[in-house]
Amino acid sequence: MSTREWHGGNVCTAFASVDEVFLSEFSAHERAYSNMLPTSKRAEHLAGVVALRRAVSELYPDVAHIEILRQHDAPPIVLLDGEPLAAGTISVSHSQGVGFAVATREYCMIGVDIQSSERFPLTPEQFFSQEELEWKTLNTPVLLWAYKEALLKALGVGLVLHPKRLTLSLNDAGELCGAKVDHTALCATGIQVRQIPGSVSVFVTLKSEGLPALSMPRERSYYSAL
Amino acid sequence: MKTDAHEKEKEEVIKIMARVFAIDPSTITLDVRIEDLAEDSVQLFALILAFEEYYGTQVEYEDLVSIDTVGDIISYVSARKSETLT
Repeated sequence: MSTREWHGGNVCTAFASVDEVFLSEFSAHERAYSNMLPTSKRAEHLAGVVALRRAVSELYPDVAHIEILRQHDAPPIVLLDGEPLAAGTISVSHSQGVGFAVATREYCMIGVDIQSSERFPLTPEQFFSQEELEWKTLNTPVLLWAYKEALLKALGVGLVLHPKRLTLSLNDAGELCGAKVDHTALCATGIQVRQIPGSVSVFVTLKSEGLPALSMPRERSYYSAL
Repeated sequence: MKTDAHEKEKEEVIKIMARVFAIDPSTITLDVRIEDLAEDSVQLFALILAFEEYYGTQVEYEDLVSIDTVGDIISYVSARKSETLT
């Protein structure tokens, strides 16, 4: 799996599989960070790093070396030829041996999520808002969860905000077109959904203009990395 | 005794975590980070739901920012139970 995709403007998403993880291609820092993770999580984490590198390299084709620095409880730092990425936004997710990442040149409210569609233990009653429970949607709960998680990442809050407080807006085709947190409307300006064997991935961009500040703590960094 | 109560609390928390994460309870120690035990965010959310169900109380989602390790969860659960009792 080696997919890179432009979304117009200065946004790029990319996938990577654990089969594309070769330890020799990672810096000492990247290897040291992954070694601190449980063995079962290392390859998938590194697939996320590969996906993020791919997305960033598409945005900055002249850069020779891209390194992703991670520290406990801190968001990832992207180094371009040793210099921290000055602007832009990144989001990374991984599941089922696949890493999925998005990178932008300028600040954007973006979020990605990739979920296993084969192993999803939640029921709609556990994370749908009251309004959503009244829907007759053909979408599977796992896709609606992925929408919500990507939106919570785009908002920068992760699971600090209960998914029931987020109500999705879907069009007649069942595609995401917006959402609201309690009574605050969110406008989704870019959406990508991919059904890949055993998983579903979602990438969303939110319009930040006119969005009032939501009063809640920022997420822990690990929620964004999961 | 307070120590016995604390030990019981610890056992209950570890039992719930082992069930939700489908892992051996002996691998769950106080200093282990929850993100290292959970396979993904769905499992983290399932853990919150399991605690809410077991203790019959709502977790304050904003409190999650201060929880990192298994020990933090046990302290949080103990504090919430004390609040409920007083």
